[in-house]
Amino acid sequence: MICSTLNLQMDTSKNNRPKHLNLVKIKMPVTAVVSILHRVSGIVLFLSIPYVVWLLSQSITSQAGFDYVVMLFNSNSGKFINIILLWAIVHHFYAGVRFLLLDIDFAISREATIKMAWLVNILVVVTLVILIFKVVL
Amino acid sequence: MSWQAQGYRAWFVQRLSAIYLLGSLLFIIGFLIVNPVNSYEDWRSHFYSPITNILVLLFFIAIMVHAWIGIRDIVIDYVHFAIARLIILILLMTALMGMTIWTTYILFTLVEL
Repeated sequence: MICSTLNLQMDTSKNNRPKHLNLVKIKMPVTAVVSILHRVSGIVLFLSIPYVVWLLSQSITSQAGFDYVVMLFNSNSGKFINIILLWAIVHHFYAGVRFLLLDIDFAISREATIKMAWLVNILVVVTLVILIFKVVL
Repeated sequence: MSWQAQGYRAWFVQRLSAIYLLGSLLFIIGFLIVNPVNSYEDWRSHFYSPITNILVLLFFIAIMVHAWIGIRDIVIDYVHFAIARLIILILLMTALMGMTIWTTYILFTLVEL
C-alpha cells in the first residue's frame, strides 16, 4: 500500500520530465554548438588523413597522377568532398583558436564567451564562402 | 613521452601541436599564395630539397600526434567497454602509424640532390 502510493507520487511528479537528453529538442547555447562542431570537424579531419596523403602521393609522383587529381577536383563529387573538408578545417581552426584563447583566460566572462562563439560562427561562414568561390569552384 | 599521453601531458601536447599546426598552416597558405601552383612542374619543384621534405614530414607528424590525442579522447568518452575501447584504440594507433610511415616514404622518395 505504501509502496503503490509512493509510486503514484513519483509518477505524477516525474511524468513530464524528459527521460533522456534529446539533442534535437533541447535548446543548446551557441557555445555548445561551436564546441560540438569542433569535435565533429575533428572526426571529419581524422577520416580525411588517408585521402589527403593519397592526394599528395598521386599529385606529386607523376604528371598523370597530377592530372588525375586536377580532374578529381573539377568533378562535382570532388568539389563536394573538398567543400566538406574545407568546412571541417576552417571550423576546427577558428574554434581551436577560441579554445586556446580560453586556455589563457582571454575573454573568459559569460557574455564574452558567447560573443566569441558567435564570432567563430561568422568567421567560419565568411572564410568558407570566400574559399568556395576562390579555390573550389 | 609516453604514447598513452595521459592527463596533463596530453592536454599540453594537444595545445603545443595545435599552435605548431596553426603557424605551419598559415605559412603554407601564404607560401602557396606567393608561389601559386599552375602545373605539375611547379608542384614537383617544391619537393626536391630534403629540408623542405623534412619540414613537411614534421607537419604531418604533428597532425598524427594531434589526431591521436583528439580521437583517443573521443573514444574514451563514448566507448565504455574496456576490451572494445582497447581494440579500437589499437586499430586507430596502427592506422595513424601506418599513415605516418606511408607519408615518410612518399616524401623521402621525392628528394633529388
